[in-house]
Amino acid sequence: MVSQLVEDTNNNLLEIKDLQVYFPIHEGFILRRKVNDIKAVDGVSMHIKPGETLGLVGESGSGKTTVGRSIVQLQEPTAGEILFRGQNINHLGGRDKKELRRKIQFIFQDPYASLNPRMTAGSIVGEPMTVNKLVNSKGEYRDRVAELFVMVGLNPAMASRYPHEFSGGQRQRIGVARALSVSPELIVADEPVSALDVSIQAQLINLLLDIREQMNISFLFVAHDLSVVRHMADHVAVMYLGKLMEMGPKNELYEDPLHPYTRALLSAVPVPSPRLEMQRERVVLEGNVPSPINPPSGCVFHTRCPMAIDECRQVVPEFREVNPNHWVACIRV
Amino acid sequence: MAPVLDVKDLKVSFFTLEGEVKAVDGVSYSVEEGEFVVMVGESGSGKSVSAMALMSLIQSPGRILGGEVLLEGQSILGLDEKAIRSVRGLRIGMVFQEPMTSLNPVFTIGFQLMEPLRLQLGMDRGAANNRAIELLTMVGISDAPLRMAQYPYQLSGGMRQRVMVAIAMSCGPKLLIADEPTTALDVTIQAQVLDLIKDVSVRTGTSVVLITHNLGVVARYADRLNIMYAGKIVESGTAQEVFEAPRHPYTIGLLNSVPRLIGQEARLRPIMGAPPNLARLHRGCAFQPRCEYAVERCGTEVPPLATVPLFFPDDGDSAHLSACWVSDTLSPQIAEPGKESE
Repeated sequence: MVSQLVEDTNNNLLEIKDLQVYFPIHEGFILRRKVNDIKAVDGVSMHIKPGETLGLVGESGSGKTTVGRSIVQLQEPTAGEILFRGQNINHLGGRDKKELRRKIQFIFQDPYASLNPRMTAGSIVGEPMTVNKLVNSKGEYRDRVAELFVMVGLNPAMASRYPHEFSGGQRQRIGVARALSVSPELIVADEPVSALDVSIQAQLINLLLDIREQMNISFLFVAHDLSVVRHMADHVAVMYLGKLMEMGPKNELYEDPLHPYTRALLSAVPVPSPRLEMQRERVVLEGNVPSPINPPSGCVFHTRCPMAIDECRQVVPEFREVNPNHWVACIRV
Repeated sequence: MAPVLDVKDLKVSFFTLEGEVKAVDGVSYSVEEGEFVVMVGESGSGKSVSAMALMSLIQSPGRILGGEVLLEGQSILGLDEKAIRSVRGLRIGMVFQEPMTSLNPVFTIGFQLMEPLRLQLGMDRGAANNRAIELLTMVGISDAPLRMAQYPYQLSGGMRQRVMVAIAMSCGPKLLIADEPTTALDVTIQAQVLDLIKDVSVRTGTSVVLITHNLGVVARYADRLNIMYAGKIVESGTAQEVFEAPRHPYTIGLLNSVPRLIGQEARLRPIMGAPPNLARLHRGCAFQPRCEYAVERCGTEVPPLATVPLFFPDDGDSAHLSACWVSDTLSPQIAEPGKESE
């Protein structure tokens, strides 16, 4: 095992240091040249400890999905480091890379598009085990697939069916079983419940909570829904236009948000109670998210911030630790 | 006074290879002047189909099988294509879910805004232009004259949905139907658009029927809620009654399924199982297979939508209805949001 050869100094399972992912914009057909970058992720640092769940929230275009994709190597970072157990994952090759890909699994957002329609549910769940040579015999393979089906609340007899025969919630369970099949240490879940109906969504959240408890797997839970993240995460990081705005322990962040963007985001989430809704103080943000091609100068949030002052336009706020483990990027805090 | 909209025993079925799918199966409700009514249901509950049927927008293999739809006392169900056109847009405005696809990409915003004004109200170009600018300003779009010349792709999702609201309101309809208007939008933009719809409705006295799958979204805005399941309204009442004293097991289950932002954090209590196949419903209550309170009768007889005692009697004279045999034995479950109900 590669990971254990490296001395782990700070006990982080995953550490991201100053990650940048830029998508180049080209212009011209014959004289094709790069004219600009979309700065999808621009200097993000975070870490996940073993067994811990980090919730990564933000609106569309905030770069949260790109961070997740970089971790599972579906996206090459422009700059910065991603360390898994102290090992830089972008400098791995051959067998080490394959081993790393086993340890970090991904659950996709769309249960309709992420399963191969020509494969049976059983082979979708079992394929990663064959690829990674984790099973030795046909019997062991079958037992293991059946075991995984039961674990995610599906009837093992359904293993021979095809994806179209399953409902959205069941398909997402197949996706979870596939991720679990290779005993990963970290699962990156990108909006795993946002495509599901409320009652089915709740079933899946409970399933993920059970799995986390039983198997001690770390999660990076990427989502836009702050109430869902509250149920899943230990720590929460808030992104806006490619940058981290605030990161901290869940209870602190939800009960005492420091960054004006976090506050606005929390207050925009509706609560299913007319009485509480009337009592709540609301910050409705004006306008739209600016373009990540030409992000605003200084603090990227200043164009919509109710607390912005002149200085915010010029100074890029430092991402600093204001309480133990509670980080914020705002000069007005 | 007669209600703005009165729907009586509406039935819509789709005739598929699997058999008849009763998408809407005897739905009745009414909307008073200026009232904000919300239809809540999960996918396949019939909430969208029931709204489409109001404007005769059901296409084959779907058919409206029965019922009555009265708009300001006049029956609009079964009108011919020409007559129904004077209802669509003019008397009922509609906002659809997908702000990306419901505007025509090859026409300017201005053209699309002026079209109903010129066709329905017979305005000339100049008057329509002025009115269109007024409408854009009303829905909170700055630089209205500039936006008039732009195409949909030049606008963000939230802006497009504002334009849709402007178009829907352009002819001063009595009723605005909004089908999941914010589902495709971010939370901060969602709050803006819903605030806008509420604001427009209050300012112009237009009644609103908002369709959504998200119970949480509507607590702030709804006057009345109709909860739909498998083609039927299973519970109906004021927002306070339904949210704080729900009497149908499905509503209770839905409320327990919603992750909470405020209050004590508890493990979610989802509804077991999945929604039924509407082509193969059994004789009794459609929710019975998933219901934890079900009794024997539930498997054989469909419960009618019946009045239950009000839990907040001071709340006005609006009735609270529930379609459940055991409603009376269900005490109000969700006293404190976020708390486990036991």
